[in-house]
Amino acid sequence: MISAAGLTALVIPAMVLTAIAFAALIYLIIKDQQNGNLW
Amino acid sequence: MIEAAILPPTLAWGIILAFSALWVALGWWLGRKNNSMDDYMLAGRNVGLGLAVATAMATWVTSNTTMTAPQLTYQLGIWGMVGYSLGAIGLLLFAPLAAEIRTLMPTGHTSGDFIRLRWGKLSWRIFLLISFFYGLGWLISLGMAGGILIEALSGIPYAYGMTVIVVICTAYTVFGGLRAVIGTDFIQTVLILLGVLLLAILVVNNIGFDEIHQTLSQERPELLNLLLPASIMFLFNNLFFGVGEIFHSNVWWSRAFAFAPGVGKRAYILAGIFWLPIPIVAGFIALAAPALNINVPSADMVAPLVASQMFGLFGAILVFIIVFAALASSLDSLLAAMSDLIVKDIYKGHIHKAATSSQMRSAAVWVILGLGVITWCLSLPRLSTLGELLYLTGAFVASTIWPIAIGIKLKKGTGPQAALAMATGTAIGLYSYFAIGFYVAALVSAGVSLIVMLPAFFMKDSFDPSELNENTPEKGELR
Repeated sequence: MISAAGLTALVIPAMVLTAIAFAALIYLIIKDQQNGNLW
Repeated sequence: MIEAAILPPTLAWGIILAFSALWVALGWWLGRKNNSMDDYMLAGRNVGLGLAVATAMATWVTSNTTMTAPQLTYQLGIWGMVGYSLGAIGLLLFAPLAAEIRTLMPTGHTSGDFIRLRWGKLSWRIFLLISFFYGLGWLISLGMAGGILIEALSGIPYAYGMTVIVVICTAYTVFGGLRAVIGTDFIQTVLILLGVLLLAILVVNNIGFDEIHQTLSQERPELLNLLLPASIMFLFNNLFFGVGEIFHSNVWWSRAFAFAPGVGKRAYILAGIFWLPIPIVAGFIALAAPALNINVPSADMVAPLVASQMFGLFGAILVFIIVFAALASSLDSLLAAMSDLIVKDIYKGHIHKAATSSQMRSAAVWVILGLGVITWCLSLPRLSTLGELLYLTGAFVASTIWPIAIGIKLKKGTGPQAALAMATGTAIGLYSYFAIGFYVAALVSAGVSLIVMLPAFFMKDSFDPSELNENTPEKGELR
């Protein structure tokens, strides 16, 4: 059975990765827009 | 279902109309830049990394990801959400193939083009049957999910909700082609990521891991059990189903052709990594249900119920927007990709072989409209057997994994062998679906297909990859 610490260790990194994904998408779009590589 | 509605219908209509207007306006605005057929079908073949990652993520986040992941978590526990997140492996494995596809076929349009040029016409026709059956299954499942979810969340009758989602997606896809699909995908991805993350943060802040774990241990200890051998089979089947979906479907091939040179591999790797946590975060929200003492009448409503119980109207609005964005981002992609396959492989490939680019462009508009009408007609009766069609397609799509992987990576194998692999894999996969259960169909199909393709590994090289480039002068435009 997974412990409370195990559950935390599974979910918190997933939440952090989701936040990174959001930030990375915004960053990539702005960078592409500035370099004229959007489309 | 209606009595469990968590959002007032008038507010739901307001949200639907606001986002619909945004998608259609954006589709029309992006569509103005379309001058050629390649612009319309493949967004100009020069999509940058940011939009490429967003569209791959958004398309793979369907209503299933945001609703089924919590449902599976509530039914299967930790394995439910971890197993579902293995769907990311399909995206990761497709990454190196996407790079090669773009290089080997600089003027290719569809997955059908590859099968025709690599394995010949018999394999091509078998592949098209598999692809259309899968596409139809997915279209119906999305149309029905739209109606069912909108009704469950807001009380808006099934037929109205389903009609709105199908009409809106068809409209902006017709206006803007793949460019509109990718542009709206970006906004939809941002909405989904923010919404799911916000809900999870609120759950952690308001309840916390210790209380969730303690309540689960007392009331639903099986959800925390990591030793469930039965679910291992489900996991592997899910894995092969996902890989089969991505390897064969023109939804993913059209993006490989549309991304700018050098972008495909990085885009699919990043999309796979970024998609991975979404089912885990969405699934975690469901684990809060016992701690909140929520009475869950049906497992597929667990995420909306947790959201509305904890955060009232704000939570209900958030879930509604996430689901609406997840549905639209997949339905539009499928409409565009199936239209490409019908226009290039059926209309030009079989009916009007001398069709010009402008004739194909006109045909694409009518095909997208036709697909929208077919989706609406087949979703309207709300037949549960049709809704389950997608599960059946696991037996079909998994049979294409090895012919596609070997076809791209090796110069070995023969056309009849690939045709036999897809036909027997599908047939025996279907038999296992009915004889054993849905959870082995994709596994058996991929296994049989591999056995048929296995001799290819020991054959001599017999294929010249330059034959995949239809711009090679002596090959003509479409042989």
